[in-house]
Amino acid sequence: MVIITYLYSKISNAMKKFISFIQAALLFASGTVFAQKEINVMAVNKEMSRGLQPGYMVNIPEAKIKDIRSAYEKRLEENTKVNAKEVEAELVNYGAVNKNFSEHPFIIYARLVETIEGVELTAFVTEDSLNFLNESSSPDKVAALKKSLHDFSVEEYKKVASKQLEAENDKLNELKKTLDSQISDENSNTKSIGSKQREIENYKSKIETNKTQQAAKTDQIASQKKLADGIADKNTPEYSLAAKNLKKYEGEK
Amino acid sequence: MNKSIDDTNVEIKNLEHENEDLKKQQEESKQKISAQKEVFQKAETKLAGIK
Repeated sequence: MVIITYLYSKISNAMKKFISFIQAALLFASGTVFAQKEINVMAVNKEMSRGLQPGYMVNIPEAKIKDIRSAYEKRLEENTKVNAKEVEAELVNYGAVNKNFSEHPFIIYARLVETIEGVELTAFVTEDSLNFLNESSSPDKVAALKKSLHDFSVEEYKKVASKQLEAENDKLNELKKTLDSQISDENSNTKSIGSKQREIENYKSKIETNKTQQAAKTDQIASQKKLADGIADKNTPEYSLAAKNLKKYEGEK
Repeated sequence: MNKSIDDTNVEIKNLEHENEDLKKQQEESKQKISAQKEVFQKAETKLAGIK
């Protein structure tokens, strides 16, 4: 028994250590998952459907290409009746409108690539269909495009982080629900234990009452027997009544 | 009657064992909740800091 208890405590301690290790590992992993990434828009020269061209690239951390494609398509269609099209793996809008960038509609080509870190979005912008916006273009236009890409990336990254937050909140609520259910089960068991203990007390009380009644009946039978035996003439009505009562008391025991 | 008392005592013992297990499970749940709260707070901080 001592050995079993010793082994149980060893296993229990090892189990506790293992659970603590898993929790620490999860916490460390969560630190990596929830490490915030900076969003920077960079000037690049990249191959696109019109050859090697200058453009502006931003990374949308942890995003999925399907979500970004759909969101950027909507963004390209804001304030314009011209729809974005998918041409040679690029999203293109030939009549994009952004008053911060230009008074006139312009063309924007967007290439999306999913990477381990998220989605890389590169925008190539031209107003005359010949020259693409680059670092030597008007600083206001460059700043407007950079801001637009930066804001879009922030918005999408926030959507990703919001989903993560929601998922973690759901997990937390599930754990709380489990704890509540465990507490409720314990309370219910405690009530049942109390009720069963009262049941036992009730049984015991009935047994005692029964014992007392049996003792009283035994005394009554003994007295009645003595009374019947004391009647010498067995043919009298008194004896018949005493014998009848004796039989009745014996039957009741 | 005595048989019934014995049965009820066994049921009480079983419920007491179950409660001991439930107490251990509650301790584990509390630890998990505490760890998950930290994870949730990290996710919250991350969202708040995106700019």
